[in-house]
Amino acid sequence: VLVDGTLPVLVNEVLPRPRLVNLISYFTMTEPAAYPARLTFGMAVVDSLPLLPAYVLWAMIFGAAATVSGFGAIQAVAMSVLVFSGTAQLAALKIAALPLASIFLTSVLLSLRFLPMTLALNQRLDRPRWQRAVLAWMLVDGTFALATGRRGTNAGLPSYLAGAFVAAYCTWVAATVAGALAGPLVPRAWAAAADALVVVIFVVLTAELCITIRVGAAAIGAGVAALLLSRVMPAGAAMLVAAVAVSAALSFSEGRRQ
Amino acid sequence: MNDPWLIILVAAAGVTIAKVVPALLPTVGDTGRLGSLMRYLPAAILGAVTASGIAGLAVGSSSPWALYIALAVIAALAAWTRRTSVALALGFALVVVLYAAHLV
Repeated sequence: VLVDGTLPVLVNEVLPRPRLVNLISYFTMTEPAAYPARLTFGMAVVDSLPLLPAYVLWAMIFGAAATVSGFGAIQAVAMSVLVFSGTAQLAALKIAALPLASIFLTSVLLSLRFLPMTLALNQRLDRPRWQRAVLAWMLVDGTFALATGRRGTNAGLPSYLAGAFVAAYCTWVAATVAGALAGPLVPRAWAAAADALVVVIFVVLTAELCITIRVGAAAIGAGVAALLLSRVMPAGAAMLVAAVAVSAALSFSEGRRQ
Repeated sequence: MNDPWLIILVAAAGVTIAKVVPALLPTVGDTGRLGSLMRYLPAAILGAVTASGIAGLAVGSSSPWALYIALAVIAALAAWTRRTSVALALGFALVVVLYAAHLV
């Protein structure tokens, strides 16, 4: 193992959660306790719990904003049911008076960040295309981050994605109902709190994902590139271009090294 | 304003296309240049989403550096301990402290 250089690779793949247990499990060749052999629906629901407060705040704000903007309560809830994307929903409210083509284009551009997420999950889903399409529709930023964090195995990944979706979707729709009914009573200051919760969650999940220097470089490099590109293009497109460009650059340099 | 039902349908179509179309593409193997690219893609897109979120939060902050330092501490703790719950608990606590001190 030492001679062919696979030890660093194996340690890097197995090292996280918690280090000592994984190091022991590496030397004893057993599965680390923190990496289950199979992902489950229930596991995803439990993993989703820290995300739910942020969903509640955001969805209530959306529900209230929609009713104030001229949507009926049923229409606000229908939007959460059919669109299921906080950024696209709030953006659509802001530009509700523009031509429908503009609303469509804005929704696509803001959602372009899902493209690399779906492509990355495709690699782990050994399923027919229609099933992958259904699972892709269920995807939001938080569920992608959770699924990426559970990278130890692909067994049961569809169930895991479904569990994360059910937790997020039910919370999102229920909180939209509450926000639509409460209307102007929902404080706008909750938006900042929801933003802060989401940022903390993403910082933690991204940091935990960075198990090698190159993966860390991918995360940091894409982050910096996305910020720079967002000055000249919509945020969703900037994230897509940054993620693909940095991943391609790292992949290219890896190929050259080999 | 347009008819709300049309707005809903158009927004749903835009989001659905962006999410579903890539899922219909053929998958690439784990080997080769594309497979290598796919290994970096999850971290890259999470990094991009996280950076955009931090930038958005910093815009409304009276002391962005306090926010950056707090998030760096949380990231270091998460990377070192790999304990999601501990890092999240500390992260939420730090955010509460920043809010209480009117730094965010």
